[in-house]
Amino acid sequence: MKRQEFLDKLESIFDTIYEVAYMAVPHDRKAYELAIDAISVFFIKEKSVIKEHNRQLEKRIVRKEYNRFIVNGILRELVHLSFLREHLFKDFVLKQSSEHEFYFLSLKERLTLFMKEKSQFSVVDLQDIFGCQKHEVTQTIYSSRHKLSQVLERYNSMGVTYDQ
Amino acid sequence: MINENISKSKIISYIDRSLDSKEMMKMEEVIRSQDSLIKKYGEVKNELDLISSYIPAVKYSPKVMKSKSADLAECTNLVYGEHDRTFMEKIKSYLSSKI
Repeated sequence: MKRQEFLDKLESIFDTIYEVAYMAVPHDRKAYELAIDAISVFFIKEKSVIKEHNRQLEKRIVRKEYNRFIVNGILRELVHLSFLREHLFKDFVLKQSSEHEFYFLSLKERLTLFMKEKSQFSVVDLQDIFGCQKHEVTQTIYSSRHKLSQVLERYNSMGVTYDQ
Repeated sequence: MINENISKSKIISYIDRSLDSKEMMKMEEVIRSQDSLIKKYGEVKNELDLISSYIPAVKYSPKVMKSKSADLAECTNLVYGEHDRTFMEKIKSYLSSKI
């Protein structure tokens, strides 16, 4: 894969990375910085592996697997960085929680639920990204849905309409 | 014999596609075979969709995204290195940074 082709690919997946970052920190500048940092860390760590994969791409059709390697790898770093910076994101999350009950969920719950529901990642991918077992992923999805459904019930009982 | 009493959590696992392929096929067959299960599936699916609608929208700021191309090019340098860029790419990058 040539440099420009690689850059084009990176541009095409950036929105996915940014959207997940935004769930960690609901602030456009901070989310953008988090996304760029996650990409940088992944590239620094896996430079030789990425280059090796690039060479293999010319030999056989492994593009789908390659995309998965890049996206999951970047998101793995993003999750790691998010936990390291969680204390820095606290104020932004707190501010948003007054408008969106979603931000009452824990960082792990927000990221897992978003990636499952909106980015359409499979449970296997989430296992890879979070580095945990299948039952842990499903448990996190379950608990986040449960908390949000409780919010829904509360709104319904109060006769309040929820707007995004 | 088809089991009519499929739990809600099993249907959720089916919707989430977290079952293995053999179980997925079996579940599909079982659900399709009974009207009561099709109804139950629809209810659970609606419930999950409603919960999903609680996830807020992502905001994009054109001001922040303005530097996206340049920043991603910098990231690409971490893999390919600055010296891997062609002369034309360097010119393009220089000109775009001046606009």
